[in-house]
Amino acid sequence: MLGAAGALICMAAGTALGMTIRERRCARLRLLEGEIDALARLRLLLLEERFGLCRLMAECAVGEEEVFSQRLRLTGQALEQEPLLGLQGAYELACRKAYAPYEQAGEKKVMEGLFSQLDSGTTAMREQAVSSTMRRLKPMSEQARAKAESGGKLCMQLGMLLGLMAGIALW
Amino acid sequence: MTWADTIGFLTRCLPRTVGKQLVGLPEGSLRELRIRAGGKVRLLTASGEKLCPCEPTQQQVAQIAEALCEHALYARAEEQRSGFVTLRGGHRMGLCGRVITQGQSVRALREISSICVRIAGQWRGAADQLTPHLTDEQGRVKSLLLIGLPGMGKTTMLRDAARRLSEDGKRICMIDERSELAAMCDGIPQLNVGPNTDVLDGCCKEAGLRWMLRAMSPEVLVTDELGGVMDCQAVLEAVCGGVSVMATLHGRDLHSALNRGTLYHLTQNHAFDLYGVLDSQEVGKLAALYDREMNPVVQS
Repeated sequence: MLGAAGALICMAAGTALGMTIRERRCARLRLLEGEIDALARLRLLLLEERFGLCRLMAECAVGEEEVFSQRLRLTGQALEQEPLLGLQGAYELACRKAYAPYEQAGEKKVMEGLFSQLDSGTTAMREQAVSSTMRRLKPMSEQARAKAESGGKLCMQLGMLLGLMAGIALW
Repeated sequence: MTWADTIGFLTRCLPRTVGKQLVGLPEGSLRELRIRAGGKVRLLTASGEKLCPCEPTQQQVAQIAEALCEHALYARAEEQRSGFVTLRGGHRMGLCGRVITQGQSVRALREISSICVRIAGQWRGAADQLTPHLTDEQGRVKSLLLIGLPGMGKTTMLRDAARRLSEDGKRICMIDERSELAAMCDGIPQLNVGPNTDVLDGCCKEAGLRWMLRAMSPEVLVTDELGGVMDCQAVLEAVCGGVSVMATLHGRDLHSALNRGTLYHLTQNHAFDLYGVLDSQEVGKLAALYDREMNPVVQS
């Protein structure tokens, strides 16, 4: 009886582990997609409007739940409260507050590079910085999508299988 | 924008040592703020000049300029090219640095090294000397051109005259190209321009004068700092259309100001009924008022 229950628990634990890995990959994909969407909006607003950076950040933060929207909102607020902080400083502060453990170092570096470039220069220079960041993020997003769709499902199935095997072995 | 708002805004954007000095100033006493790379920050107040123990680097000066401009300097390249940018509250920030030129024209300003912030003043009663002469016997507002040197209070006087007329029920339409007259923020004037005043913010004078004439059926059009031929052309059109115009012009005295080629048609066609000349020594003082034939009406 206990052996059967142990096997079931192992299977459930394995499945949960697999699902966590899958969810992490999906969250990374959502973050990257959110970043690309927000950057497209940022690019448009840079060209069409005359917003200050605080307002620009607030206007680009569309989704309530999305991590990148939260970061943009926090960046705008930090810059408004401490204007001498600079955009890069405000973004770093926002990243610490809205932390995403699944964000990879490469993606983080690309975004930090963008925020340092957005702090100075003409509209055209800033627009160029946004465009190049979007170009760099797209392959990362495609890679993350592939990982989340195929790899994520596989992780869950593997977790379930390993859990089942461990349970049977213990029984 | 109240004094507390202005000081709060400046304090946030400036180094802490300067902010502390600003907080201690008596209400309404700050006239000018000068920041230079490698030099001490200077505060020009009603009681004289004060030096702050702060010597910002060029990068810090540029950062302060960005902060004062609410990080929108990039979007205001056109204004930057003319040498100054209007800040929230109607304050004017003059800029110096390395100018990038193309032929004879200015393309951009880089490496900002000096800033001069002129604090916009809301001085109720600034136009007291003018007010008795602004309307004729039928109650029609006379067209007025205020002439004075920079910083002598032309804009303040013009704003106060507009406020008074607006409070008297005249329909005032203000074309505020540099956001200095009304200092609009989220659709609300930060400076008192009267209850019966419509403001067209950020629009060039030429297009704005025509816009207001077509769209808002004004009794009086108010605009700051006439300059180009096209501005004068638009003023003339408005005056010929029966609308009074109140404007300002840089100049030391009446004749030197009006002898400019661009103003020839305005003076020849008697576009203005009154010419007010501001004192070149005392801020906000009307030195003389002339009628359309340039005969003195008031002289101090």
